[in-house]
Amino acid sequence: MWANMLLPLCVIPLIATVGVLLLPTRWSKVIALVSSLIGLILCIPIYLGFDSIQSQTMQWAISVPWIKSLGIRFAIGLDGLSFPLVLLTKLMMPVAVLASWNEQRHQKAFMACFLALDAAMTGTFLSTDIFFFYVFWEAMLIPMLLLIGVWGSDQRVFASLKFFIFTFFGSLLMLAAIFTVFVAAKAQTGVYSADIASLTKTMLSPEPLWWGLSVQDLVFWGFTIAFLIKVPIFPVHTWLPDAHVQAPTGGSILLAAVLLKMGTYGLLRFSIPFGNDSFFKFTPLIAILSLVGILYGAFVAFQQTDMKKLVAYSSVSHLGLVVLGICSRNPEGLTGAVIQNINHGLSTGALFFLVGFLYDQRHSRKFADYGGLASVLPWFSFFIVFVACSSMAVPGLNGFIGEFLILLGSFKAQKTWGMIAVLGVIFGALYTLTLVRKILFGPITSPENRNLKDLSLKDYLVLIPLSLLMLWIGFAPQGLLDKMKPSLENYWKNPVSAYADRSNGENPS
Amino acid sequence: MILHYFLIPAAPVLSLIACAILLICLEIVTGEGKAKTLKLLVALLGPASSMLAVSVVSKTLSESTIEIVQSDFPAWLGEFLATYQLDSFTLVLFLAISFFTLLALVYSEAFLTDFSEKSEIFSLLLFVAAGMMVLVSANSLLMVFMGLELMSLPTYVLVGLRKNDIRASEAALKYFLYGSFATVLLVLAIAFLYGSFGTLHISQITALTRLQITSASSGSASLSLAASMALLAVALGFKIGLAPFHLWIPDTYQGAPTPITGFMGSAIKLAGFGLAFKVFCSMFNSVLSQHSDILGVLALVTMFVGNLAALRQSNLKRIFAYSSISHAGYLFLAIAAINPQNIQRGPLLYYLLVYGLMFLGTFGILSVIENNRGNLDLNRLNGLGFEKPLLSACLLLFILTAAGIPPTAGFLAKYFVFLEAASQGKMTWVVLGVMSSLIGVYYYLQIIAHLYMKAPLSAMAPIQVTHKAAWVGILASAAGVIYFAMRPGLFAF
Repeated sequence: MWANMLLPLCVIPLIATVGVLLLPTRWSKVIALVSSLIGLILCIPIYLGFDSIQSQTMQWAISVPWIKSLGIRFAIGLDGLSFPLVLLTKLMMPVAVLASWNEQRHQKAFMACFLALDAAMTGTFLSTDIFFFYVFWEAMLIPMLLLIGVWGSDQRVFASLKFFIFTFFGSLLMLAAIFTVFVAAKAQTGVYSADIASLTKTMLSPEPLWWGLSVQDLVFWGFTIAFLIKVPIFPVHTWLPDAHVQAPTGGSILLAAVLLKMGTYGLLRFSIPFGNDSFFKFTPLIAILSLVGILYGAFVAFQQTDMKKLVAYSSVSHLGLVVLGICSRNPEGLTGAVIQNINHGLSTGALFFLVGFLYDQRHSRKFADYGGLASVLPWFSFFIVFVACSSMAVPGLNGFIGEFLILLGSFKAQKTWGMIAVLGVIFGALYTLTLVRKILFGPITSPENRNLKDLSLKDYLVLIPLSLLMLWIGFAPQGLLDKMKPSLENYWKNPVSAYADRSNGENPS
Repeated sequence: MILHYFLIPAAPVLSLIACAILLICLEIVTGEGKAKTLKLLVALLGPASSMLAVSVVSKTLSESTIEIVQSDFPAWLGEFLATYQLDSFTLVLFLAISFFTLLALVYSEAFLTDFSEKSEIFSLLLFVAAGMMVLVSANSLLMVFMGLELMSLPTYVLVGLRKNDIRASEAALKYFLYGSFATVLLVLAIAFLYGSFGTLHISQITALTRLQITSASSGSASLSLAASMALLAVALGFKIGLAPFHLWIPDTYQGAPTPITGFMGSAIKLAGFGLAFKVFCSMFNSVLSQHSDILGVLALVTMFVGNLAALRQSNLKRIFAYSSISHAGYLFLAIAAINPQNIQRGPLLYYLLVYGLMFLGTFGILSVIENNRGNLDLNRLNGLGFEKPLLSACLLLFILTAAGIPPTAGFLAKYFVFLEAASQGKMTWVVLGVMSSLIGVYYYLQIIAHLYMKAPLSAMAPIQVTHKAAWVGILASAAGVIYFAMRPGLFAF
């Protein structure tokens, strides 16, 4: 029974996509919701059945040959790295569907894009075959492009193209890196294989090749640039505010909660295992970039007059923390990074949901149009304060656990990193509170706001579970952490071992 | 004996020519504009019977490889039989040519509504197809020349079908001038090769070049070899549209009737690459590795020229003309990056078929739009996405295929080509190639943006697919592209 646990996660949204396209429009929303809820329900046996002791190995693995002569197989599996992200994806799907419940334009195509995106996102996290990983990774771009470009706001075309081209640039570098590894592995083992685990055993020469960079460095950067763009890290983050702001609410939620996580997931799954030495060499650079991102994101968020833009820049800041946690190269930092990944998904997803709730009624994202909502929308106000607390890491909520562990890890690695990162956390409180203050408090400036409706049932259905999860992770993070403990604690030993015998002086390719 | 060795192998070509001649006779007998259905059926019979013949040939071929034993025949017949060669690669090309011709016939019937008499167009298309088959199966340079001319001459006419349209005349004239120039160079190359080897048979030349290389021969012979190789590269470059010999393509593709452009971009490119493969990978196999860098640079320049020039275009036909130039670059990379010791036809073949289906499908849709909205400026697409969902979904599929975005077959095609280059250690080519597709993505996305994201222009005629046959062509291409995406291992890499 457990053997085919994962396949439905990927296949159900695909079937639902076809169903939405073929059946009449009035069914679209229902199909999308049902399929995403089934996905969520399937997560329960997966959570319970996931063997935490074995979390370093792929569980429920399936492998079907596809192109035999190139060793390409359709292979999926779940390990400690992908486990939390798959759950997060499946959790955020119903949220995104419910957030888009009132979307009127081209509902059929809209829901089809969502479900296709769901399939591709799940596939990306589940793939244990590098080729299929890449296919899913790229396939994700098309529905997202359409979601932003068709259902977005005024600047949607620009934002969608920018999103696509930035990400595609990174993907192509990654493709070149994949080719290099693929061919090098063939040269060493004699057969083509696209299995990620066996490819990471490929020895890539550390000899300088091009501008002082070795093959391993180039492969490392090929992967890393792709993932850092997706994260996004400081100089390549500019697509994110545009995409976030222009995307429809559901699109923003998935973008923030899931798509950005693929960057950090990719760093852990590909960049570091394939280029461990290079990661060692370039850690300071990446850490400094992420520190710049933390502070810069926080400052820019503080200056915004647009709610969605504020949340978008806060993502730059928060994801900078996640990358910093990875750069600390110790289990604490890594654990914090993984937890913070989830936290950011929950809190930013919820924030976008709440902002979308306001936008649906007032069609404005400007702070200037709001103020004093606390007296009109008490329940909305409660939830936005709650989510803001989670986002700025108030102890007792999930954000605290993640940020604390990341800071601990980075202090252990480099005191200065830790100190600068703490500053970022403080500024985080500043801009989050600004958001809360400008929306909720003060006099009601615009008379239209007096007639706003408070949360409805569907909003409670989203917000209450998300809030409970925030509390749960805040009070009892062990429930999630224990599941992936071995894979996180041994992570820094494992990628090294793959290269351990490289020092014998062999020079491949 | 004659049946087995001559008629069956030649049947795919002969059936096309027979139908073409029959069509001309029919027109004389029935008169202009009469018996349209009969003429269409005869025209469709050509490629259909040709496909059938291919399946028969492939069966005989798998039973016994057709080896010509010269002594079994009268000398003249043996001599003739040695001028062509059939193998599985050629047969797949035959099938593709027949299929593309079939689609082109359907499109001509559906879209060339301003012609009352179409049997000329049909018979010209069939002659072109026959020429292409001769070209890709030729084993003698003389046959290559014959096939090339049989393919090119009717195409010049097809491009200029609309006599009173000044753009069509420009297109035909340009194509004719460039094409004849290319033929001249080809003849010159053939003359050089005959001068140095004393034979026109490709397989003999292959053997002789190998001998010459291994025996480290005199400089003059290798000079004439290099010269003929360069001449062939230029002549083929004109035909398949490699930069810097691509200048005729945008104007010709734009001026030609849209269904004919689709045919040129798919089938003629396919035949051209079939010949290019034969020339560079078989005939010059032994010297290929010496010159692969030049060929690779040619391919890369072509990619970049095509993709960069397409960025500035606002007419869909011109965009796809430049796109076809950049695709020629990727296709040529598959030839340049081939391992001479272990020739893999898979990547080139897969790319050719996917690209051809994509191109024909796209031009079917473009014909629909042109017939409804007058021209093919980019903004004619505005709002089409939700007005005609299925048509637009097909166009989206073709565009994603052209851009090489997973999970479409276009991505797989590029993947195989790049993998070939990477396994030859040409990582620079791979990096430049993928960067070129990044440039390309921009204009493909522009098309998608117009299709789905822009508001429709006011007062634009609604799109109607008047001729249902058009759907057959478009959906068949889409199905083909999807099929190839699902069966990438088809050609055993």
